[in-house]
Amino acid sequence: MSPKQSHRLRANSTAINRQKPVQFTFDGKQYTGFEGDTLASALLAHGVHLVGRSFKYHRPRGILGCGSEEPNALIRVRHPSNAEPNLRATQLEIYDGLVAESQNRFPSLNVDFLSINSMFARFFPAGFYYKTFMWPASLWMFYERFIRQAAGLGKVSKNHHDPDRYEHKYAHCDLLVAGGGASGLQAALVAANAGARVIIADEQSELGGWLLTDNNFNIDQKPAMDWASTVIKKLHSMPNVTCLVRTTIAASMDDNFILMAERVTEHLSIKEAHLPKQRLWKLRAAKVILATGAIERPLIFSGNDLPGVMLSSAARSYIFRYDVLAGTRAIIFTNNDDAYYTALAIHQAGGFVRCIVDLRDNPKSQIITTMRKLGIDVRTGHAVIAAHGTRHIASVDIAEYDTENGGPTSDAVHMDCNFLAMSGGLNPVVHLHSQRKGRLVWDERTSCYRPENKSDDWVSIGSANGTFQLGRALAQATRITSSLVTKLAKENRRIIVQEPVAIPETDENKQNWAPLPVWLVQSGQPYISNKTAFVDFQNDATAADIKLAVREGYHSVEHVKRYTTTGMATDQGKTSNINAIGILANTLNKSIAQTGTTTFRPPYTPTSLGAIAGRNIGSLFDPIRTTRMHSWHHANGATFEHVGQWMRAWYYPREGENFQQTINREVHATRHYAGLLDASTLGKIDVKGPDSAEFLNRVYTNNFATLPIGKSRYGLMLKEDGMVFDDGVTTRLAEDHFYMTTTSGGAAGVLAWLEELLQTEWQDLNVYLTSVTEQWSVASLSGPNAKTILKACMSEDKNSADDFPFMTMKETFIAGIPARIFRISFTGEMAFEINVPARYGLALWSHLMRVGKEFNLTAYGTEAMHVLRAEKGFIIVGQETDGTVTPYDLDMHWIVSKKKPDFIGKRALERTSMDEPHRKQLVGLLTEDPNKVIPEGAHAVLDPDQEIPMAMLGHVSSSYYSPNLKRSIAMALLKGGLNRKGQNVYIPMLDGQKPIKAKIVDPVFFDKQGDRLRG
Amino acid sequence: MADTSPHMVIGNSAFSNRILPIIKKPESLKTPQIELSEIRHLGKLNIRCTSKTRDMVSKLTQCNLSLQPNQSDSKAGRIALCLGPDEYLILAEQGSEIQLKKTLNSSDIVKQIAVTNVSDALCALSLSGKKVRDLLAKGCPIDLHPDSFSKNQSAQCDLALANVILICLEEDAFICICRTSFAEYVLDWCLDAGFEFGISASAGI
Repeated sequence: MSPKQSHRLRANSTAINRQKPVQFTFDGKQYTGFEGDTLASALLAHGVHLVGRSFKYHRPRGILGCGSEEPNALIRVRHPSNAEPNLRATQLEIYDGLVAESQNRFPSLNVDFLSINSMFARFFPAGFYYKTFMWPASLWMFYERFIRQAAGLGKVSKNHHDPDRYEHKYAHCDLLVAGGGASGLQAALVAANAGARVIIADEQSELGGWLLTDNNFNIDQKPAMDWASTVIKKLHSMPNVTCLVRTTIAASMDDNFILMAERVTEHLSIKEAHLPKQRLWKLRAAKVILATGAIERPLIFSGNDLPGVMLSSAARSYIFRYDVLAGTRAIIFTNNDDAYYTALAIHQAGGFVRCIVDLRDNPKSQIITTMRKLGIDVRTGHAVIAAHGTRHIASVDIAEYDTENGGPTSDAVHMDCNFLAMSGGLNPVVHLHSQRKGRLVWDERTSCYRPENKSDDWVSIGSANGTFQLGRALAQATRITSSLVTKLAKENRRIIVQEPVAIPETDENKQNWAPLPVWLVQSGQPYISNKTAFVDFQNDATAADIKLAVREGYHSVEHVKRYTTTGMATDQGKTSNINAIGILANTLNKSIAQTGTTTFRPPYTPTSLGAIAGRNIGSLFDPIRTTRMHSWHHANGATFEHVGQWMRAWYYPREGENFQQTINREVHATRHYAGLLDASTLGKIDVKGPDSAEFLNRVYTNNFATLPIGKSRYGLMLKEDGMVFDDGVTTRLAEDHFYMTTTSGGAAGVLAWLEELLQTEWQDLNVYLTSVTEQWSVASLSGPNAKTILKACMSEDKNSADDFPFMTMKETFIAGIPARIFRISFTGEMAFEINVPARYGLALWSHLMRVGKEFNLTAYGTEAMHVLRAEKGFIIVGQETDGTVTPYDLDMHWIVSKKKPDFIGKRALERTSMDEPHRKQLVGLLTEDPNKVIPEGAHAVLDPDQEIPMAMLGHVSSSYYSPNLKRSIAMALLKGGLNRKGQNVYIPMLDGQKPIKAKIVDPVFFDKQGDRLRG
Repeated sequence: MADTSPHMVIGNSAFSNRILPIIKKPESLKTPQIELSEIRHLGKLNIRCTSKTRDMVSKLTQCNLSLQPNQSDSKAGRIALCLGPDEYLILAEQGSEIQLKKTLNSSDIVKQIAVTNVSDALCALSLSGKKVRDLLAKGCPIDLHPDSFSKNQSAQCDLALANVILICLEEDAFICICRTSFAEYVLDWCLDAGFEFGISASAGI
């Protein structure tokens, strides 16, 4: 049996559904609320205020606000398989089965061991960590363990797998209206009526904004919310309008790119699997209207953080929206008129308004007279100088107050109470404006920072613009939206300006919104210090901390923010920022305008990492590209490796074989019989146009203009810095037509680079490039039996396999499949790269394997390919090169044309430093112990006995066991390596083993003359 | 030429690693609202030409290439897309691209143009159904509102992490062209994103 909702009123708000009770638990105790309740309103309905402990001092904290501004009521929600920390109870809608718990307490809210921190508050001032744990530096590792334990807000789930689904959605609109309050609704309506595509988004569960709470006024002769309901209904019915609720606009970026986080199923007890928990909208809006409203400021006085102390606007919201009277003996503390309406609401709801304490000396408003007539004790020119209580407010001290000099001028009167509603004025929600680098200007009249509306693309209206009076806000919304619509209509025929646009009439114009700014209520009594006058509730930053920061020399608002942590953490200072600036300004004897403000940065409220990742997780994290032979590799037990986004067959282990045994078998078979490699991933570019030869001459270091038709040539491509960028074989198909191949991983980069050259540098060249990487499947057949197998497979003119010189190309048919066959080799064996239209790739591969069976044809993967090419000393760009390697470093002087007038990288190569003998140069290494394989990436030194740090000679770029040579082989880039051949080097080992001794040799280990290759 | 039609072997689908059809839908939904299938071996020619030769290419291919970038035109069973100021893609009936390429390459303008058969490099997917725009909006940053992206419009854009070309055939029917090596990624992504609306993926013909 759950406890009674003792604080629920008899009234009948439409926001909650009394027909649908909802069961939930908080800190293990079961409660009942109603559908539509937030966790905060449901707890308050039970009289539960204490919902958390503060971050630093572990002070008991209650619910302060009623929306995203809430700094205190951060709770953790448990799901069946994980948990989510730091959710605001004021925004979390309850559902059947919700399991919520408080945070930052051990073992329980009522008894929290770390609350001992608060007794030592004087030892935890601003900058505590910096001051305390700086010395001795060696002890930091020790301190850190304890600090980590105590630090941080909330605890993340131990289960790292997030079972929830998050999605992304792109959207475009003519107008985004941020905020569904009165101004936002009017703006959306004006734009929608003109035919604009409108999205209106609000973070609450329904549109209406403060109209959901303020029932004191009429719009167009009917209660404000009735007007709003009519507008909302109309907007919902219009196909050009999208209404989004539970949608937080997290970020506003350049060009009106907006990120919105929509909570789709979070509030439901049954969450359907096909719907995401959250949906991240990536929105492009032609125009943005910021109607984000305003947030009330707390007043800063000693004990203002006690549970039972609440923002006045929130107290009213709980009464009107949720039928919850949060306190029955209330003190109202204000510096403006608005809190009187809260007092009236409490009074009308049956609560006892003990006293209204108004900082203003002699305010004149109708509402004040009304309150006095009701017999309520109104004390103007007074302040609450302290609130008292242990886990809940129990009493206050009230005194006459001199706002000029800051201090009480009479003895304090002690008054008991169980609730305090405070109002320090309003802060427009300028975050989205500020995120765009929009300037903020201090408005003396309303004592708030207002956005400076300077952009044509985004405008703030209503309370977000400092226009707090409903009538004026509606007029402003109408006028500004109409002018935006006129601008939109010029570019968009769909949008037709409707004139004249009626401005809704309202009777709300009597209220005096201008607060009397008093940033800090001084108690004037030595036993009540500023140390419990909290400015930033979430970070436990007090007025005393700000004053201390100033004393310690922090004067810039940005420095003070970081030093005291005011305005940081998950609430981003929504309630604290302006008060902090006010106290800072007073302490510095400056005006607020002179003191300035900090910049708000996205996100507006914390956005879950799940929403940011969306569905780009698991197997969709990064696309996996497969070749058309992939299914064969898979069926034949291949192990795969990632090469860029490609998934390539790495090796094909047979039963009982380990990695090395497999590689040995594949390499041996290729050298002695024949091997087949899927080389489809090679980048392929079709180069066509009358200037193709000249183009290739410019991008490769060697000469391509002289390449005869039907012949292939290996080329090395440099960037302008003279460093090797890519390599590959290019074949001339016709006078004006070439077929270029690139490395697998570099293909996209090479094509982009070549296109850039053609489009920006060499517009005089008539050349077209087309990527044909996936057009062709490539099977590379190599080994002594390659020619025999090829011949057996050729459909026509089988003899042409005999007359097939090295580095030439033939177009023919294999097994009835049209093919381009290139006699080129990366293994050092006689080899044929057979290209067929990709759809036949699998057929070609299977046919070759079938026919090749009697000739011991073996499929080999990329690892065996690496060994085979390393035995021949062939480089792999990206393995032997790293962007700092020239052709000379690779001892490939032969490939750099001396005759060509120019090519990319030529100028750089001509610098004397490029051919310096001390550059790292490519050499081979043979270990003294033939069975020791050097780890790739290991460093080489000349003297293994020197002191650490040792003088490095260079690093090992490739290293394998060569089954053909029956010993290990390696390639390395060593300083001055070319002149060191014959010398010994040592490879120190990370695992403490003896350094490996190796001899520097030529990197060609096998068939130095290339007889096998040429056949 | 190497891309002459073969006699013995039938080519593989871009989805040859997968067993199709696959249907993903919420239990509450009777039938999937999105259909995905491969338009197998659709002929695709990439054509590069300047304004000087464009009319001739149009004539030889019986396609209208007087298009702005991101426009397409369908005529006599062929769809021509303008991918950029000098780049076009022609989609033609399976196999017909070979003759089309020959025709262009034996014309007088052969030296001034580049005709490349990309039928196997690119894979064409048919995507249709009343929720197809909602599906695409989950991964495609362009404005997919029917007012902005309608019949005969095309775009080279992202679909999640793949580059695609989208062609709007009808209000709820699109062709999505991607590199063949990305076909399975695009399929998997569509199946995942389409789950909400119900999606049926078939091998096509």
